[in-house]
Amino acid sequence: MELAESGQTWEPKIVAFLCHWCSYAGADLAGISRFQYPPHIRVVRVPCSGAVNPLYILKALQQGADGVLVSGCHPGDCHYLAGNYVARRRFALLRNLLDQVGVEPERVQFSWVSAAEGQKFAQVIAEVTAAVRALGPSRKLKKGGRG
Amino acid sequence: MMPEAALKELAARLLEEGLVDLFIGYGPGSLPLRSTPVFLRQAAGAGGLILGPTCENNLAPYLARFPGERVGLVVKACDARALVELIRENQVNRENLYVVGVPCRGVICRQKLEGRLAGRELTAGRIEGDAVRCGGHEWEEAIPLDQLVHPSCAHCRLPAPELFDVCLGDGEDPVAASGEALEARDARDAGARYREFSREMEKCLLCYACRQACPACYCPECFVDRSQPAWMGGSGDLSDCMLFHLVRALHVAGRCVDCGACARACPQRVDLRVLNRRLEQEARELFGFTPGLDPGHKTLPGSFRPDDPDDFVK
Repeated sequence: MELAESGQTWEPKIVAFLCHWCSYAGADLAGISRFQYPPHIRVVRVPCSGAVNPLYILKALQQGADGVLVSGCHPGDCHYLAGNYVARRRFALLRNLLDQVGVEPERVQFSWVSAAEGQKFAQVIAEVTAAVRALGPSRKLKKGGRG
Repeated sequence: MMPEAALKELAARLLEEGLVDLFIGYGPGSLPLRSTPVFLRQAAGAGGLILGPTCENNLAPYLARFPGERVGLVVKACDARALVELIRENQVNRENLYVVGVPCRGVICRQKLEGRLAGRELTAGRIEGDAVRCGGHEWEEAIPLDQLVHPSCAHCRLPAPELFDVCLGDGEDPVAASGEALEARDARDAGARYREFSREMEKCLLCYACRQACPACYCPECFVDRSQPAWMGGSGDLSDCMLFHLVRALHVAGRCVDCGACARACPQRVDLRVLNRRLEQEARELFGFTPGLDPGHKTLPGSFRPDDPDDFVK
């Protein structure tokens, strides 16, 4: 509403937690290969998708992110052997918990992108951006938001 | 012998013979129909121990305060499940424990009791069989116990202690209908679910009484107490309350034994069990995990199966 008054259009803000060993390198490859993808992500490099505490995701939503993407190595390819398996369990619970409290679970997205999948990285970002754009600005968990 | 008399005798014997250094149980509280945890180091105090539907505290969290001591502990079924989780997570040493399982028919829900009292002051109360006899200035009323049991007890699926050195009583049936299925997935739309969540969270004062009462919340430093980074704002914004309760629910996912201690500790009567029960349900349905039964299993968040569901991952 504030945006409409000021004549600006809303663009989604998406925080992307990318694992150092796969998805971050995949993002690099997408860049090197000149693949186009929407410019709405803010990348945070993390050692492993298993290092992403659900608190980080919720905090991002609280501080004004409209969506969060966590991306790691494919199952079986984790540099730390099982980090992404542990993360997967945690994120399944987080999504269902958000659903229970009426927050759109689509705001929190997960993907496996390897270092060789530049094309897939670009595609994932396009999909996530489209999904978050369809949901509109996030207010439910935002500081001072009040639904 | 009645379980209460057996408990007094047992506690006195354990302390007298030096089998335990400390015995933790319940004694009468200073208000009617309330009890308080008691910590006995001498057999002389054992006569003051009580049992019954007023014994609402989960005593398992106190164990962390007495490391290395041999402790006798009174546990209801849900407390025993909490104890299993603490043993699994290496928070207490089973060898130092003498676990006294006690029968439980559900504990009294103060909120329900206050509803029945409707403003009248309660000056006396006692349990007689299936009835709770309440009395005050020129009034007396007997309320059936099953109308007063706490919601977590009404949904209790596992009313007999699973872990004990000695179990008193002969496993009385819980008053409330046990085995009641958890409600199916919340069928209301997302807006209604969010409105309810907001309504509950607006009551929260961030006093953290739920965390203090919770047997699964034993971290020496909770994320909310950190100052660098300061995860919680100091203003008590609604979003901070939501953040705290969502993260706490995730921290106890697959570890929460639904003892209801958090809900009973809450001064604002926030319905804290909604999140926990949903996650308990997910833990069971997605991962086949029921907390509090087998101390040999790994924890839910600390383990995985290669074939865990991942249809939500792109």
